[in-house]
Amino acid sequence: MNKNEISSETSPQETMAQGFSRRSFLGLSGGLIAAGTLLNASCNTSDDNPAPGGVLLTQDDLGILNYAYAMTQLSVAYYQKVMDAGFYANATVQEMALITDMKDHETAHRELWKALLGTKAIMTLSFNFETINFKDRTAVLTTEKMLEDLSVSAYNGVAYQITNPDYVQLFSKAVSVQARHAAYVRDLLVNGSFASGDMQVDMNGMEMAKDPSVVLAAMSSFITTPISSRLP
Amino acid sequence: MSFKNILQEFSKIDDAEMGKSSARRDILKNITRKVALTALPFAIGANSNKATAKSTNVSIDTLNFILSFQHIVAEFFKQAVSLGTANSLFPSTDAQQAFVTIRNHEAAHVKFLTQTINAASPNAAIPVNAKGYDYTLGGTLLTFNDYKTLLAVAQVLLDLSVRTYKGQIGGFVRNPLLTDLFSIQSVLARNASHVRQMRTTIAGGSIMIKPWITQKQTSISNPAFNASYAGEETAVQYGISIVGIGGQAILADAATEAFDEPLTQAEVTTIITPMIIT
Repeated sequence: MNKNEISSETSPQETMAQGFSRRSFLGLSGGLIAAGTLLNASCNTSDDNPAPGGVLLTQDDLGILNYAYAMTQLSVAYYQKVMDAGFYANATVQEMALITDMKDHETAHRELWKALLGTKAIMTLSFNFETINFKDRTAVLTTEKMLEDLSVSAYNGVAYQITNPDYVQLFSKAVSVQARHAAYVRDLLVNGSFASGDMQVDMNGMEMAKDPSVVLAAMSSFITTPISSRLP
Repeated sequence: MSFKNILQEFSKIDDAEMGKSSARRDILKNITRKVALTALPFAIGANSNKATAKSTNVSIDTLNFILSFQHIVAEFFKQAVSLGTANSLFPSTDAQQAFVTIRNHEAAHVKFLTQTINAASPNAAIPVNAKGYDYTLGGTLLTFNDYKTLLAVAQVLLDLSVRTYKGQIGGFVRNPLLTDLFSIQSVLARNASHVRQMRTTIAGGSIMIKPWITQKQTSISNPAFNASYAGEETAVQYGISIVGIGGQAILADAATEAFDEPLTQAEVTTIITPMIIT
């Protein structure tokens, strides 16, 4: 690793011990991300204020928990909307039961992250799902699939940045249930697409892991509350 | 960037570079640990001819334990595809294709873990090999002769996989390998979800086996599989009761479904030992 691409007062070995930046690694290997990315990722910013009316995800375990809290707020809000709309046309009894289960699981996750955060929890976010026709099965399930796949990739991508081993374990416990959801929703759309058919799972049988910046960008079309993130 | 890509870069390091990591290994020898640790070199700088190796501590014993388990699952799906096809067990092309997809994932996981262990320490770490396995509980199950039994055993092995990985990730906190273990774990959970749906399909609507684990239900009458689900009924996380959490209407079943639970190495070993015959 080029020392110039790391904070000048930090040796490469120390950086490794503190956990290196996966995103920076990607950038270095791919030659895509310019020098300074690691600086951005590793230095505390002096700006600790969210945008007006918005929330801030700090670059620590609390920020990561709030990130998960934001994601699960979105998932619960979406499932609630599906249910409030009386489910999509021709939903089977089984589908309605399992979608209700998924909403309950997401709610349990949301409330657990919130409880762990205590007073550090971000506010309740606002959402906009106006673009979705909640009576259309394909439309509802396609968005559901996107959100579930995204959640799995988000947990997978952020887990190694967590310092508290208990939180790592809780993310592990939650993400496999998210993956069960994702596979189910995919199979509702196209049977047998539970873990294949696109890039979500690669040729090595490994699922995509995404950085918070990528996940937040994908979620931003549904979240109206401004989110400032110090996460990579 | 996954660890497997790092491995590809690592393979480009010549012997001279390899020699440089020996000093680090000497230092590590002085570190007292319960498990064997080894220097895991990382090649950093894909475009550099002078790739330098970094190291982090990885428990080879833990990786080999995961691999020893992963062999059991991979070998099962290999046999399931070949014998299931030979015995005309699959009721549809979709069903057969699902098993092929899962077989390919499991084989890839074995390959990844094997390469990881090989690369971690070429001098000392030897990846465990596959052994001979019995998936019929000593001939009492028609695992490869009856489709329902095949699916039931597949479900147990996949759910158990998720719990096995979960039990070992504590050794990889802040380690780049954690991402890879998470990325494998979520695929195992997807596979488990699908096999559970396949079981619901053949039940013809008479019973519904959910894609997730409710309480510690096996959905299998044979009590031999109970141990694989023991502990899944947990409804308390981090000391917080999930039932009714935050004033929400979360009932006991949903509270247990929302989280998959880890199993320790000892618990997994007890469960899988009867399956190992050589």
